[in-house]
Amino acid sequence: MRRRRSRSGELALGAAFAALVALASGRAHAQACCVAPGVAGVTRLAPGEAALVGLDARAETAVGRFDAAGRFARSAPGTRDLSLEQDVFGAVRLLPRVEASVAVPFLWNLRSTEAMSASGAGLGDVRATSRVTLVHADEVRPWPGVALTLGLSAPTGRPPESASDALGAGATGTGTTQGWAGVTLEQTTGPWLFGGSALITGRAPRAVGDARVALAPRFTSGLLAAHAFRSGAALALGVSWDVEDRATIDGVVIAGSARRALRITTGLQLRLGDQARFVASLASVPTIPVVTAGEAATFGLSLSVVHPWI
Amino acid sequence: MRLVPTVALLSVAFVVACSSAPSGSAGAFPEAPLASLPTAGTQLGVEVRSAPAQPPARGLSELELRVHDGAGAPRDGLAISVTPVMAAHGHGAPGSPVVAAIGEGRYLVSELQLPMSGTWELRLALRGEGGFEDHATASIEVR
Repeated sequence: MRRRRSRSGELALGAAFAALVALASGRAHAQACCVAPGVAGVTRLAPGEAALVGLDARAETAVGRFDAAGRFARSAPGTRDLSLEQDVFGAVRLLPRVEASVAVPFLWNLRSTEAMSASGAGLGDVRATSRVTLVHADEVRPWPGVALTLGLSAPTGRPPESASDALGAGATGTGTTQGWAGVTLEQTTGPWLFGGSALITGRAPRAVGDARVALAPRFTSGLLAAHAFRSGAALALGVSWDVEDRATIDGVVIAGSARRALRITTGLQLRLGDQARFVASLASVPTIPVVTAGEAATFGLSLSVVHPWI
Repeated sequence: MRLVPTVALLSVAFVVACSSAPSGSAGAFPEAPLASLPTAGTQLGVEVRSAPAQPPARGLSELELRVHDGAGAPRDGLAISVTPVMAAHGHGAPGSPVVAAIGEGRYLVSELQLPMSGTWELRLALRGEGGFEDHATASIEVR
C-alpha cells in the first residue's frame, strides 16, 4: 500500500532515520563485555525501501569511570581503552510495516596501563532486530507514529573469561543471550521530527566459575530531535538514559552493582546520490557526576555507509 | 561495490593477533589488609592483601590470604580457590588464579587477572581435611 507524502514529510522521515541512529549509538560501551543493544540503528529502512546492506565503523575510547555512587575518576595516567568495531548489516522488509535486520559485529580492542598492554579482536555478539510500525509518523495526525522493536543478540563473541590477556582486550562479547523490546513514538512538524522511546533489555543468567550471575533488566528511555534539510541531509540530537538495578550472584543481591548512564549523541546523515547514504554520529557518556554510575565515561565516533534498494 | 576493498582492508586489521606484555613480579604485600572478613560459617577469618598495588590496579595482581581460626591462630592445610566476579557487568575474569600455601596460614594467589576498573567480588572457597568447607567473599575496588 503506497501512501502519498508531502515533501516535508519525506524530509522529516529522513530525519527520523538519522535521529534513531543517534539513539542507537548509545549501545556502544567501552568494553565489549558490557555492550547493550540500542533502540534501533542504521539498519532501519526508510519509507519505500525494500532492503539495505551497510557497513558501520565505530571507534570509542574511555576517559574515566563512575563508581557506584556516581563519582567520576579519570583514567590513570598511561591507561588507554580504545574499542574499534565494525558491523556488517542488512535489513529486509518482510511486510509493508514489518522489517527485520541482522548485524554482525567485529571488534578490535586496544588496552594498556602503565604496566602492560594488550590487544584482541574477533567476532562480537550477532544481533537480530525486528521493527513493526503500527502507525507512521505522519499517518494519523495529530497522533504520533508508533513502532515496536524486538531484538535478540546471541553470545557469538568471546566472553571476558575466555580472553587470553589480563586486560580483557580479547573479550568481544557478553557471554550471554540478550533480548529486548521497545516502543518508539515519533511526530513530525515540517522538517522537524521529535521522538521518544522506551526499551527494556533482559540478559540470561550465566555461570562464572561456580557462581551464577544474573543482571537485572535494563531500562532505556530516550528523547530525540532532528531536522531535515531539502538537500536530503539531516541532523539529529538524542539523549538517552539507562537504568539497571543491582545484579545477583547465586540469588544474593550485590550491593553497589546497580548501573545508570546518560548518553548524548548527535548524528548527521548525508545522501550519496540515490545509491547510498552516509551517517556520522558522535556519542558520549559525559563526565557529569551522579546521573551516571557504575559505567565508563566514553567518547565515540561512528561512520556508516548504507546501500538501500527501493 | 566500493565497499568491498574497505571491508577486506578492515577485516585484515581484525585478524591482528592478540598480544600481551605482562608485568613483573608482584613484590611485597603491605602490612595493612585490603579486606578482613569472616567466612560464611564464621569458623575462620581471612585477611586479603594485594600487590604490587593495594587496592589492585587493572591487569595482573597477586593476593596474599592470611587465614586464622576463631582464636587468631594461623590455619594451614587448606585448599583455596578464588573466583573473581564483576557482578555489575555480569562477568568474571580471564584465566584461573593459582593458590599456593606458603605457611603460617598464608596463601599466595597468583595469576589473578582483573581486566576492568570497578568493584569485584572475590569468592573464596576454603576446603580442608574431614570434609571441611567454608566460603568468604571479599568486595574490592580495582583502580
